[in-house]
Amino acid sequence: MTAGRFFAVLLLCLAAGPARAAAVDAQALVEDALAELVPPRVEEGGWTALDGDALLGAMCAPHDGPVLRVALTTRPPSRWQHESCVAATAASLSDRIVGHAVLLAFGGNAAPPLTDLLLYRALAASVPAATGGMGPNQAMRWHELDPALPDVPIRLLVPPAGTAEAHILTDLVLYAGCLAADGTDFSRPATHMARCTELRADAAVTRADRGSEAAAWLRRAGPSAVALVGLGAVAAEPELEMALPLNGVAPGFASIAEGTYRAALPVHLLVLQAAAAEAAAEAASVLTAESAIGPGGVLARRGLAALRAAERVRLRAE
Amino acid sequence: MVGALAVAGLLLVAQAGRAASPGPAVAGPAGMGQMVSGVFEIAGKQVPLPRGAWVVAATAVQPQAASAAPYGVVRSAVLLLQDGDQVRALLEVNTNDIAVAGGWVEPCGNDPLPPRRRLRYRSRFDSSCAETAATRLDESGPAAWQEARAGIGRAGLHMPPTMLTAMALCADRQDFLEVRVHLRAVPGADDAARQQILLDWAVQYAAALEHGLSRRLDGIALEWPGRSALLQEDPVLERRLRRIEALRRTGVITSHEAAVQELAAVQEVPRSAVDPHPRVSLLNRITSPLINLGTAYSVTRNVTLSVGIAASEYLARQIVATTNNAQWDAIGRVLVPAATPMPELTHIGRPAEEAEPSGLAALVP
Amino acid sequence: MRIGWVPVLLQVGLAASAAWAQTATVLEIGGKQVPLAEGPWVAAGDAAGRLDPAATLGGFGMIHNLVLLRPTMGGRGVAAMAEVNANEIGIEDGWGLPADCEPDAARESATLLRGGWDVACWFVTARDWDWTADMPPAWRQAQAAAAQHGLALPHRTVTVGLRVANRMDVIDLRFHLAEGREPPQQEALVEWAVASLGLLEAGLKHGLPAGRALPAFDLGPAALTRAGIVRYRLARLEALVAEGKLTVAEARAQKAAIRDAAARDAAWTLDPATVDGLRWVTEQSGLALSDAVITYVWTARSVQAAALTALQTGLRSARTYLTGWVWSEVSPPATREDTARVVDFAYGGARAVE
Repeated sequence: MTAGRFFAVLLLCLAAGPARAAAVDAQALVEDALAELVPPRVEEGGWTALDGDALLGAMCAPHDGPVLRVALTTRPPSRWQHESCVAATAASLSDRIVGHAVLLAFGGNAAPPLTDLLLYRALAASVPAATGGMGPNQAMRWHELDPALPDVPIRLLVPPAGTAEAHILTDLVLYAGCLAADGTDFSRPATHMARCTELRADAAVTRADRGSEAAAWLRRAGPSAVALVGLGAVAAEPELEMALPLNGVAPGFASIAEGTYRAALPVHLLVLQAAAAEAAAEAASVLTAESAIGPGGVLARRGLAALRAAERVRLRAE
Repeated sequence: MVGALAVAGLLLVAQAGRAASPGPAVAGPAGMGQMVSGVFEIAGKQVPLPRGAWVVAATAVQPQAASAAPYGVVRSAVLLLQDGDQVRALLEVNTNDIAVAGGWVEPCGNDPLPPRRRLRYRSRFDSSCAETAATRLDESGPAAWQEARAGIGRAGLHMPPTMLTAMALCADRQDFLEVRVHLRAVPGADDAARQQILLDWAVQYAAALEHGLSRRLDGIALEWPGRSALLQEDPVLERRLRRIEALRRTGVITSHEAAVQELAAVQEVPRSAVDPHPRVSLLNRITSPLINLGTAYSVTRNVTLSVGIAASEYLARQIVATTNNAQWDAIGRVLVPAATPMPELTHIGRPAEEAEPSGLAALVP
Repeated sequence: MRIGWVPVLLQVGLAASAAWAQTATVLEIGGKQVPLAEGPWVAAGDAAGRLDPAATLGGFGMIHNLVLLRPTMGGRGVAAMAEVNANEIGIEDGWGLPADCEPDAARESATLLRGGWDVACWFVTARDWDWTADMPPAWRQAQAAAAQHGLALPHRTVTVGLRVANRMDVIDLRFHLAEGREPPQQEALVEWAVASLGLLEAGLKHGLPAGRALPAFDLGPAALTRAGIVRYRLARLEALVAEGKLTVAEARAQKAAIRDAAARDAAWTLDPATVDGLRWVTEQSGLALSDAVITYVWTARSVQAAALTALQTGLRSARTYLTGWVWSEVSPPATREDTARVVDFAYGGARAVE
């Protein structure tokens, strides 16, 4: 997968000078709220949203003296990257899953039953052509994709670019739909990936802005419209009531936590520390506290789907 | 009449705009026509309200046949939640006015649990259960419902003929609190997964109701079923964990103590008293004569004799059991505080037939 | 602050103790109301208590252990000490009885209600106080506070204790009355305990009528009756009649039922599971006897009758255990016996040695 497509947030704390990197246009999963979690005594550093490529570079950058770096990311380091980082920094690096980023669908009474394949065929800019190969997506009504579906316009709201939810949409949902579609060409994976996940830019698809209300859009767009949003939108908008099933699986606390609802990615907490154990424990306890990662907590309000209570408790006890 | 007009007036005012959703807070008991959110107080107990600005449509008592049961009266109330000119949800609550001393007689019943029913716990002195159903709204119902219907009619609100109902009941040795939340349903295919969402929510509601009996609802915020399925695992447990964290953060307990408490909190479950199920008792009653007959034949090798022995023992068993139970009932009244029979409660509407549309596609609009 | 204090006017002269914190007679602890006996109390100890022996009954957060003192009129000694143990957070599966509520020749006690999850009991006993011995932190604080204010602590007290608990919460409230020139009469304390227990039960669910405290220790029987929860319930019935919600006849019948329940002599209350167990034992015994008589009548052979009876009784009992076990394995929810367990906290003092 393209490295740059992954969403990551680097939270830099304490001691060593901040390894700041250019913040890309990525809606931080917890950008604003994380500042609330910083222990009061931390005076240096701050929260920075980073592209996935830059994350490990910043985390594993050289340092002088004690260092404590914390990151939340949907792209954990591989084993090689983990060992390289530890070797490069002479520090310890822990990796714990603290929740999930999840993509949810909301719609009216006429919304169709959603699958990866249907969403791919509705959203992708290029789709398998009837004459072979790939061609531009010109379907404007659900009926054109499946005669069993109602003859109503395709109206889809997708998450803002650069967000974890947008990343889930393209790399999990659309790519899976693309694999399931007939006529796709796997001979050139990089090109294939771009073709599978590039979104159409016509009236059928609306890219949400930060702060836009999905419920208001659904009211305007009609009963067949579908809004694809994250859990943060659900927390912020009381009108979003019942999420639609995806691939026949209804999203719920259990199905998200257990992984049966597939439009979700685990969020990893990385802690690199060559500092006093107490400082590391304090930072970890702040970020894994119930008020942070529990339902209704700071991170949940920004879109983190919480782990089950037993897992949260086990995480804190580690 | 005056009450219905008052409710109608308030409903017309509320109809003008979308109701806000303030945080859970209510000061003191609410009277008819008042808007409440978060918590509704009745007869000294707290009733959790799902998110939204509710209107107290009616309050009344449910008259009981002349009985000496010492609970005063049954207080009932009907609250409603609007969405424009539509009735989005109704909430009916029934509870006793005066505390009793020895609990209630089978508040959750003693029948085998049907599919849409869940028993949280049951013991001699307390019970908690939840159930879901579909309800056809008509004129049948208690006095509070008649008053609420009149107010709804005068306000020009539209009500669906059928609503989905989540029922929760919690009873302890002093009080009972029964709540039915009627939710607007959208016609559609009956979805088993979504039925489960409503039942799970009803169980969470029953857990919150237990805290309402002790006036301890602060910090428990209830979402609607569909949202709760996404955002909440167990609101009561989540509040418990937050409070343990607060104790740790303020230094009242150490981190180790907090970890021990948290582990205990996620592992604890409300247990029921060991109680042979009626099916087990029925099985025992059926097999006893067969055992007697079989053993009699194995010893006597005489069919007539065996049948005579088994028949005589069966008759004697009825006498012994009846006499024994009567004696222990009398002894029990001295040794265990007597349970109060549950009052006869009248509820809004009637159960809808199974063939009726009861989809949960949009539990709340 | 873990509990809220509402200051009241100082009523009793305290030598050089103007700065000592005084309390209201109803404390708020973990969402519960804990009423104290009428009269002045000063806060002397406030620390985390503990279960004894240590147990994990659930996520109760912490046990609040409070100690309050009532100085004598002269301000040189302590007339009474109050000890509170209560949980901060409600749990799911109940608490239990204190050992002091179990029948014992050395004390007077009564359990008005006992079961696997519900408890209401009182006891009156004597207690010795060795102030040099190890004590819970709240008591050490109280001891230090008393020393600071020049108050002599008693070495022997008459202790009246109340325990109420339900599935979520527990309140263990003990008053240790110093034996002075006019020692409190045991019988009077028993009547006081009976009158007070209902109020404490109401406080467990934050339902104390009009924030009422427990009656004073020196009230007579008639005054105790008026101060108890029963009087409040009777008054509530009268209010319902005045509102037109009840007829006079209905109220009269309910009043009689309330008085009957209050008059119940509950010194020998049994757990529901124990009653059910005894019921089963007597039924099985009766059946065995009737089976023996019937088989003897039919067979006229005592040995055959005895063998048949033993076989039938044995097989029926085995069947009952087997079906009960199968049911417990396949059926939710989790269960345990409806029998009160003993749950104690770390208290001050020790049982008096006669």
